Amino acid sequence: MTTPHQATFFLELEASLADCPAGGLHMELRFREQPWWDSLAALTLLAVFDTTFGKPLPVEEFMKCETLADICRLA
Amino acid sequence: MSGLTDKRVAVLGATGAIGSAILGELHAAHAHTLAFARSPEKLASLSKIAAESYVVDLHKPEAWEAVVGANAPLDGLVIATGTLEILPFSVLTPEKFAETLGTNVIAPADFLRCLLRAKKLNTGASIVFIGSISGIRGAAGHAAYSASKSALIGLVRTLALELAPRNIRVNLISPGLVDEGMGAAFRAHVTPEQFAAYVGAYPLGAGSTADVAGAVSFLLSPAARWISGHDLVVDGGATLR
Ligand SMILES: NC(=O)c1ccc[n+]([C@@H]2O[C@H](COP(=O)([O-])OP(=O)(O)OC[C@H]3O[C@@H](n4cnc5c(N)ncnc54)[C@H](OP(=O)(O)O)[C@@H]3O)[C@@H](O)[C@H]2O)c1
Repeated sequence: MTTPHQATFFLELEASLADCPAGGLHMELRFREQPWWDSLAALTLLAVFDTTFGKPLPVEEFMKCETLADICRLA
Repeated sequence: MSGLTDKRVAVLGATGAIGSAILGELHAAHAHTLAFARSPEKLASLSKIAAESYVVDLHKPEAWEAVVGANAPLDGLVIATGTLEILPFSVLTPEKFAETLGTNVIAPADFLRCLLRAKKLNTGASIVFIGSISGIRGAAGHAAYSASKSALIGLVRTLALELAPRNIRVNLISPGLVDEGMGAAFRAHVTPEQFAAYVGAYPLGAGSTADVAGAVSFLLSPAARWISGHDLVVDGGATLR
């Protein structure tokens, strides 16, 4: 079940990641294995998390995340 | 002899990594140092190298007049404040963009305008802004920061012309990365391998805040009396590549 905040997070993230295909994000996606994943994408994800959920995503926690569901659990 | 003995020189952002190195260098050159910064606690820690200290917050212009009014005219001013938020362009909102431009360009320029209107800069004074090589070349995630540092180049050239009739010189120093202050913040954003590769691209190797302070000291001194509107790049040759 995706909450409204999570849906906004996915939409905003997809719009902000230039190389992410439309509709390409879902909870179980192993984002680090995607061809569009790089250091700029990581910064983008951190910024979108902050603006959507209103709190920063601690970098140490972020490093442990493998899927977008792992990220959303930290919201 | 640096020619700065007893000269009244203020450093705005004196509590920063580069600002405090500049203040220390000026103190060692026997200048009469004034530390301007927003945190009273951090200012207190500079008591050994600051002859005078004043709280100046760039975002509180209503408090500037009291500081400016309380001071005798200056022979030198260094603007070493700044903010860097690494944000990919796709998430750089107009508000975030304006925040960076405000802190890095508009507010420091306005503070200088306040000093000039109060006639607090002596004839022959030297003003030095701290820019960045990001203002000359781009860097991913630095859109707002780069734009703000490029803007300083235009600002300094214009002010140099406008203030030349009063024999006031205005210059810019564009440092490369030094591993303190903002440089340390940059390090926190990248992997150790990426940081090593970044610094490895500097032909003269890594630089320090002292390298920047030395260049500032030169531009403040009478040895630079015929230099104005210049952007002095202090980057170990990084931008030559
Ligand atoms: N370090 C580098 O590698 C590097 C490279 C190129 C250019 N630069 C430039 O060098 C300058 C100094 O950087 P730094 O490395 O010394 O960074 P820093 O240690 O973070 O110092 C920044 C300074 O700006 C002050 N400041 C920020 N916002 C302010 C505000 N609203 N009002 C008053 N003061 C404010 C800070 O005050 P607080 O102490 O109260 O926070 C601090 O004194 C900046 O312009 C930066 O862009 C640095």
